[in-house]
Order: sequence, then C-alpha cells, then structure tokens
Amino acid sequence: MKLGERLRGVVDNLSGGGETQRLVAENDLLRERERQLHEYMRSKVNQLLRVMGTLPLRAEELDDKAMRELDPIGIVADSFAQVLDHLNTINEKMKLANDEIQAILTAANVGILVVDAEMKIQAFNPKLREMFLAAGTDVLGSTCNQVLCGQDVPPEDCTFAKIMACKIGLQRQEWALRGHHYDVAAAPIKNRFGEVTHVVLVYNEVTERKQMMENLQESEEMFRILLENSRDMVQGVTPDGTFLYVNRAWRQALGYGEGDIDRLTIHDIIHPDCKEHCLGFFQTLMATGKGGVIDAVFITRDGTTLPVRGNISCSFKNGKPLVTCGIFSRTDESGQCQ
Amino acid sequence: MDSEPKTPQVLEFDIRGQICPASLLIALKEMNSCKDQLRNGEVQLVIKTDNRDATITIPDAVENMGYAVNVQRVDDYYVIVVEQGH
Repeated sequence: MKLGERLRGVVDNLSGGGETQRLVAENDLLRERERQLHEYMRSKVNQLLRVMGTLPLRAEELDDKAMRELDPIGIVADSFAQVLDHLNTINEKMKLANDEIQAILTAANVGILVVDAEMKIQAFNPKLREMFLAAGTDVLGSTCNQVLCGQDVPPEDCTFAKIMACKIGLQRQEWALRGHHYDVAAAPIKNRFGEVTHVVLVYNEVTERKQMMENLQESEEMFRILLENSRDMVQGVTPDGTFLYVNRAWRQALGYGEGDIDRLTIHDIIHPDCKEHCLGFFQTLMATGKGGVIDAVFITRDGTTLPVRGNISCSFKNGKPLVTCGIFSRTDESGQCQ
Repeated sequence: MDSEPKTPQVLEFDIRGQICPASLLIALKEMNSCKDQLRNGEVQLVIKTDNRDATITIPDAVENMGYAVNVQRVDDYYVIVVEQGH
C-alpha cells in the first residue's frame, strides 16, 4: 500500500467515516431484504387471494406497513383451516353416503347400470352381472351397446339415446333381449350446467310376469269362449246391482244387445212379483256367502216373462262381496219364485 | 327433552366504501375471530357492503368454510348474513 492511501485510512478512522460507510451499506442491504420480503409476502397474499376467488392486493389499497398490520396471510390461513375442517366433514358424509349407496346397489334385486355420456360403463351392481354378464368379465369402460345389446351400434330404440336427447327420466315396459323381458327405468345425472354426464339404468326382469300374464290372457279367452257358447244364461252382478258380464245366451234370451248391458241393473230384469224373493236371496248371499239354487222370473226386453232356475254364488275380496255369479236355464214351470 | 334454539347474537359490520380484496379480507377476519360462536349458532354476522364483487367473493368463501349465507339488496347497498351452516 502506498503511503498516501495508508494516511487516508488513518484519517478516515480518526473521523469515523469508515463506520458510516459500513452502516450505510448495511442499511441498504436491510432495505433491500425488507423490499424482497414485502414483495414475497405480497406475491403469497395474492396467490392465496386468487385461491379464494378474489382480486390481488393493490399497493395503493394496502401499503407495506398496512399489509403487515392486517396480516392477510394469517387471515386467509385461518379461513383455510375452516375450509379444510368443512371439507373433512363433507368427506365423512360423502363416505357414509357412498357406503350406503354401495349397500343399496349390492342388496338391490334389480340390475343397476351407470354409463357416462359416451355410453361407457362406469359402474354396475352384482344383480346386473347376474342378469347380463358372464362371471369375472371386466366390462368397465366398454360401451353399453356392446356389452348388453351385443351390437357395435346402439339400437334405434336405445333407452340411453332417448335419455341423452330428452334429458329427463323415463320408463320402458318389457324391453326384450335374448328371450328375456325387462322393465327399464332410466334417469340422467346432470352437472351444474344441466349437461347429462351419466345415465343410470335400472333393469327389472319381468319375463315370468309376462309369461303369467300371457297364460292368464289365454285362460281368460278360453273361459270367455266357453261362457259365450254356453246354452245356459250366465250373469255377473256387482253388489250395487249392475251387470259386470252377461253371455250371449243371456242376451238372446232377454232380448238385449251388448250395448244395452251397461245401462241395465238386476232390478230391470226381475219380475215385480219375484223381486222381494230374489233381492232377499241376494242380500243373504252377499251377507253370508251362502249361495244355492233359486227359481225366479225374468222379464225380457219386450215384457215377456221368462221363468228360470239357476245357481248363484258370490265371490268376496277382503271380506266384502265382489260379484255374484249366476248360471240360469229356462224352466217350463209357470213362473213361481222359490 | 329438546332445548329451545337460542336466538343468535347479531354482530354487524359496515364495510361500505371498501372494495375487494380488502372487503373479503375484513369479512374473513371477523369470521375468524368468532368462528366457534358462528359454528355453534351463538352468533350471526351481518355485513353491509356496497361492493358488488364482494357479494360473490364473500358468499363463495363463506360457503366453502361451511357456513350458511344469504345476500339481500337493501337500498343502495347489500346485506350479507353469515350464520351456522345447515
């Protein structure tokens, strides 16, 4: 070091100028650190405010000193703690709801299928597997038309397509697939914009019920033919006296057409001299269920008397008379009521 | 025996003149300070604001925190009622 520089150092030390420079430099460093710290705080505050869905802080709205005093990071942190508590509560409720749904799906005796808007299978219950799928096959992500209908293209009357089009729930009776019949109920699941994101399809197999209904209809048709072709007069009368059914022999004998029957009552066809006896018989029949043979006199449409003998019984439902059934034939007797 | 539900104490804050995000921060600060009473229904916060943005940001935050919120327009300002969640 040259002599001049050494002398300048001695002078600076004696006058305190070196310490001043050091303090100035340290002060600049601290200011810079504080500026960086405030910049960091402001960026973190703005990040949190964006998460809260609001605008960033403006410097003119909240200067650095005011920001430190307000402590926005502390405020938002406290709020986040409450948000997390709330989310935990919701999660617990959702888990419980999910467990309940899973239990319902497992216990349901109908097949339940959930597909997304692209018709891809997202979930199904054990009953649906039992109804449509081979054991162990993985069909999640496959399209519903491939798995259920066995077609690459959805059928024209596809229930899923109808739901996507109308966006409301619908029911379909007796959908047929491979010799089985199903009642299908379908409902859309929508997002907050009203778009259908999933469709829930519920399949209830009704093959046995359909077969029973067909058998019943066949049986009814057979009995109808038998009754219509019987030579005896057959009538079904409700407790209020209106006719539920009369056969062809009855209509021919009394001279009425099919269209007249709805307007008639039992009172219209019983001879006045016979009315007390017949109505008494009906009252006893409906009160006790005790039927039997009765002799009566009917009046035909043109006023001719028609002595008949018949057997009447009564069917009951829940302890109340439902209908009296009578089978009559003409007698040659002079019209005595017995 | 069920006890009668208590009528909550109403704490009112007027932050008219404040805009977001300051209005949201002030609302959150007040909610934080009485969160336990809010949670159990002892307190109901009534916040008055004339900042339209705050009628969206405050209710959004309040619902995310699990409280019930209702916004009503009164004359030239809004009243945001924050209370125990359902």
